[in-house]
Amino acid sequence: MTTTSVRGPGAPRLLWLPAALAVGLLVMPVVALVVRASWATLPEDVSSQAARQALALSLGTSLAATACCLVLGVPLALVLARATGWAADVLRALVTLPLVLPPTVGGIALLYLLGRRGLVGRSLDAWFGVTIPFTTTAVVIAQVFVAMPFLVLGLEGALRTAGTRFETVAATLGAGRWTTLRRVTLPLAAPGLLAGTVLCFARALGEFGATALFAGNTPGVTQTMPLAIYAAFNGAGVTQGAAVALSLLLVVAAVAVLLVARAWRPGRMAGA
Amino acid sequence: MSDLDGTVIGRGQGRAVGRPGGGARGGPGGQPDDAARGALVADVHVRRGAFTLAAALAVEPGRVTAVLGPNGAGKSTLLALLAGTLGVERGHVRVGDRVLTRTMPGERDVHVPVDRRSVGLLGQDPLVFPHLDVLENVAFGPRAAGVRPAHARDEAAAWLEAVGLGDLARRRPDELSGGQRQRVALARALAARPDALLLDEPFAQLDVRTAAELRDVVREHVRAARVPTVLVTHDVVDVLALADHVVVLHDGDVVEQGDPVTVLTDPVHPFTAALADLNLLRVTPITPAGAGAPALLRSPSLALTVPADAFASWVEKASAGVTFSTHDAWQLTFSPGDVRICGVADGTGDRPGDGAADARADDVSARDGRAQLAWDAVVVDVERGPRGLRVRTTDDVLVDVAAASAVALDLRPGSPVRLRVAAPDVRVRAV
Repeated sequence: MTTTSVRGPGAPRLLWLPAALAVGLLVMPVVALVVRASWATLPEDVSSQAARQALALSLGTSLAATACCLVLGVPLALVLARATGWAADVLRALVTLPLVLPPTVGGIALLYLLGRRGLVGRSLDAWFGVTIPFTTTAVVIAQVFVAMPFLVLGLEGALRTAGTRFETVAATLGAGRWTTLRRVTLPLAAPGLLAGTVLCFARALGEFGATALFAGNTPGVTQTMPLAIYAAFNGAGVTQGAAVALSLLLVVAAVAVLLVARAWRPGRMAGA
Repeated sequence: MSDLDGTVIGRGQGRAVGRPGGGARGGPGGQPDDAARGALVADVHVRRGAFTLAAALAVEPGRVTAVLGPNGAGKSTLLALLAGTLGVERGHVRVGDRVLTRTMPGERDVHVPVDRRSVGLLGQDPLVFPHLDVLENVAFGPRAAGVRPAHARDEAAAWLEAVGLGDLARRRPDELSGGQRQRVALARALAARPDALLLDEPFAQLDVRTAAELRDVVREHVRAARVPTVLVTHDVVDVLALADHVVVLHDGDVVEQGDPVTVLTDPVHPFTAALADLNLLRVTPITPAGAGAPALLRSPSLALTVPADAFASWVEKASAGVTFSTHDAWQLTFSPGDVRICGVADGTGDRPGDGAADARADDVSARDGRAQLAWDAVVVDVERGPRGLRVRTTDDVLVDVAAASAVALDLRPGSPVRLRVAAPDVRVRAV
C-alpha cells in the first residue's frame, strides 16, 4: 500500500531562510572545531597529564555539584511547586536569578559572600579557619550556584504538571506524606527530574566565569576543562592542540547528555 | 463470586496495621473486621462564600446511600468533608465509634488527616498511578499500611481476580480500557480496606454496557466487604442499580430522602422530578362553585380543570398522614408520556402520547371511564424525546408525542395547545 504523506499546515516558507541561518550559527562553530582539530595527535593531546587532570577535575566537581543540587534543589522544587502567593512568586524569580546573571557577576558575588573578608567568609575564617575561595570546594560551589536553577525549574515544572490528584488518591489509600513522596510524587516527576539533572550536570561541566573569579585557575585544584582551554589559548598550561581536543570532548559530552535527556520519556522505560 | 469464598489471604495473624481496632486483614471474601466497621454518620455544616451546606446522613455497613443533586448543590463539598480534604465549620463525621471530624461547641476539635481516615474514594477519573503496573496499583494501599510487598501483591492479585482482571495484573495502566482502569481503581480502593467508601460519579465516563458491568461489581463488593458507601451521582440509573437510600441535595440542603423507589416515583422536589422524568406542577386548588361543576387548579400561569368527583376523592384521600385540604398548595406529578396533546386551532387532532387518536370529548368528562385534568397551554420548544419528540409547554410541563403527531398538529414554539392527563395518572400531595 502506498501512503501519501499529508502535510499539515507548516511554517511560512519565508521563515526557512532565517531558520537555516540560525542552524548554521549554532552548528558551524562546532564544525570549525572539528575541522581545526589535529586528529593525528588527538589521542596524545587528550591523554597528556594536564588534560587528564583537567578532565578528572571537571568530572569530579560536576558530579559533586550535581549531587549538591539534587540534595538541595529537590526539596526546593517540591516547596515551590506547592507554594502559592506572592512570596512564592518572589522566590521563584530569585531561583532563576543565576540564569540571567552573567556568571562572572556570580563569581564576584560568591567572593563577596564567602571570600576571606566576605559576609560569611569572614566568620568562617575567624571561627573555623576555613577558607573557601581558590579551592576545589569553591569550584563546586560556583557550579552549584549556576547549575541549580536548571534542576529546580525542570523538576518544579514536572511537579506542577503532575498536579496533586494522584497524591490525594495515595492519601485516601492510607499513604503518609513520605510514602506519597517516595512512591507517587517523585516517580511521577521522574522525567522532569532526570532532564533537570542532566541539564544541571551539563551546565556544571561547562561552567567558566564564576569559577574563574571565585576559584581561580590552579592546575589540578581549580583548573577545570573550560579553564584549561582558556588558559591554553592564552599560551599557558596545555597546548592549543590539547585545548581543541578538550573542547571536542566537551562537545561530545554535551551532545550525549542532551540526547539522553531527549530520548528518555515516561513509559519508554517500561518497554511495552 | 463463589470462587472467591475460599480466598482468604492471611496476613500476620491478627497483626494490627496502624488502624484503631485493626484486626486480621484478608483479601476479598475474607472475614470483614466488624469491630472496626460501623455506620458512616455525618452531620455537617460548612459555609463557602455565599454557599452553605447543611447535610446529615447515616449509612449502614454494606449499604449505599446515593446523593443526588444538580451541579452546585453541594455534592462535591459533602464528599470533601467526608474524605477530610475539607474541614467542617460545625458538626461531625464518624464511622462506628471512630470520630473522623468533629467541631462542636464544648468538645475537643478532631480532624483526622486524609491518610489516616481510612475512607476510600473512587472518582469519575480512575487516576490509576501511571508509573505502576496494575498489580502494584492495587497493592499500594496494603503496602502503605505496612504489609510486606510480597503479601501485599498476593492480596492485590486476589482483588484483581475479584473484579475480573486477574489476567491483567502485569499490564501498564495505559494499556487498559476506561472500564478496566475503573475496575483497577475499585480494586485498589477496596484493597486498602476502607472503613467507608465514597463514589463520585464513577460510571459517568463509561459506555452504557461497561457502566452496567461495573455497577454489578461495585454492588457485590460493597455488600461483601460491608463498607458503608456514599455514591454521588446525576444518573438515575446509578440510583436504581445501587442505592439503598437516596438523599437529594439542593442549594446545600437535603430537600428529600428515602428509599429510591419512593423518592423517584413520588418526588417532592422539582429536581428529583426532573431526574425521575416526571412533570411536577405546584397548584392552588379552588373548590368547585356548585355541585357537579369542575374544580379549578391554578399554577403560576395555568388553570387546570378537574372533574368534581376526582377532586373530591383527592381531598378525601389521606397520604403519608397528611390530609389534603383545599387550603394547601398541592403538588401534581405525572409522566410526560401520560399527557395527551391536541391543537386548539382546529380542535380535532387530539393525540395521545402513544400516537392513538381520540375523538375530541368534553374536557372534564370521563373518557374510558377515567376523569381527566385539562388545560390550555402554549408550546415553548420542541426537542427529541424518548418516544419521538418532547414538547415543553407553559410552566415547563413536558409532553411526549410521536414525531408524526407533532407534524400533524403543527407543534412549534408559540402554538396554543390543549393538554389532558387522566386523573389516576396524576400523583397529588399537599405541600
